[in-house]
Amino acid sequence: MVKLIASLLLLAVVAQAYGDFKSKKESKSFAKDLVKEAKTQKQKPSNDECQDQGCKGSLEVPEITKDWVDMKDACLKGMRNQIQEEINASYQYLAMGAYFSRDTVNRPGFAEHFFKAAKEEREHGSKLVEYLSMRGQLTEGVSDLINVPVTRSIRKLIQTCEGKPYNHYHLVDYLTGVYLEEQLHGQRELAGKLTTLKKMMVSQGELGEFLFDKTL
Amino acid sequence: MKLFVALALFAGLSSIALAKNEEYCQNTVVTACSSSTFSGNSICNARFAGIDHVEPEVQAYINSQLTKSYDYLLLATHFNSYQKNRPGFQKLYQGLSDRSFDDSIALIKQVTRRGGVVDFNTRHESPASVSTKRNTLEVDELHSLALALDNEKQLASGATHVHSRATHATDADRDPELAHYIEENFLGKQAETVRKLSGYANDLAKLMKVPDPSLSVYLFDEYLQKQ
Repeated sequence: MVKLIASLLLLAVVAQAYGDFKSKKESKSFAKDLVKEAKTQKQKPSNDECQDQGCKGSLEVPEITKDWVDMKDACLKGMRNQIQEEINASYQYLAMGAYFSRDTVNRPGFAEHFFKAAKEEREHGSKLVEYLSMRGQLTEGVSDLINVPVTRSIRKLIQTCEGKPYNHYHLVDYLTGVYLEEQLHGQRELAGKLTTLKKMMVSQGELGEFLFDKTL
Repeated sequence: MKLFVALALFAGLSSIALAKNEEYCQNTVVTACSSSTFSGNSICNARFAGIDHVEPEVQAYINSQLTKSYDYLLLATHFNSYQKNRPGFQKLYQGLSDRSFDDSIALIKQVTRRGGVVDFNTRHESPASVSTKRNTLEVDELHSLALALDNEKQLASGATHVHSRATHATDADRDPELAHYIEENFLGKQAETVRKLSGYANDLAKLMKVPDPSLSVYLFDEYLQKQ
């Protein structure tokens, strides 16, 4: 009889421990914990609203005038596209950098060049995002702004944004002054490098490519 | 008939021997002059130790880092809007985003240093990869810290997984060089970040236990700006 009670007790202890273990496993994530906490807080009949608000963790967004938020549809859509383009370009450069880093390809100069380009493109994207924030955009729909991609639109974007009936003067100036400037210089530089490389490769082939890589 | 069998056996053996020979760069290099196709899948590669074994894991981990980098970028953007206006939080997440991007490039360099290949189009599923399902990033300040903490822990477990794959394998698959690289460049740094974020999350959670937490969050954001 005593044995039976003892074994029952043991069983109970084990079951308890297992329950603890399970609940611990569930609450591995801090974010989940917070949500759970918020839920239980909500379920509780709250006597004082303040307490509830405190645990919800979010602050009300005050109503302020939106008159100054003045960017228009087509241009906005263009900007969002452009951001994705920049991220795609960054990805492509990253892949190119990875290719030239291979042991059997071994062009460290090219690789470094493309890694740098990948960083630059990402920065362009993030600067455009910051610009939209500055103009009062991106208060919602942020999560689907960038899709991580599975891989000469600045001019087109400028055309869209300076179109009638609404001209985004400031943005167009920014795009022409900073982005187009950088892009044009970048194009010239690449064209120059391409010419040099081609000249060297006509007569010297692999040796030309090898030497050119070391100059990058 | 006997002769035929013997001949076949001889031919088979010699072809095995030939294949064995081809695994050495020295034997391939001498034929380089005679053939023009000495490139592409060269046997003269940089692969040694357990690179075959850990390469897919590192690839998966690179993909995770990149995904997280963009997640953090969007989180930073979220706090940069005029309605959120939290420069401290923005700075925190922008920093994490930049770090993940730089780490991705560093990892690509490391894999290719070992003769590996990085292919972004294949997605290798491994404990080192994080889910590609994007959870909503439009959260409030406290939840964003919790989200970041969970992210960082995922990245740290990913690195730990790569490390244990490199160290706990059979002799031929073991890769101490890669394990050392992960230890030196990731694990210590990650412990630091995880600790920092958990401190932030606990602090802010305590600060918000007041009827109106708006001042607390404001002050906490000011504090983050100075970090």
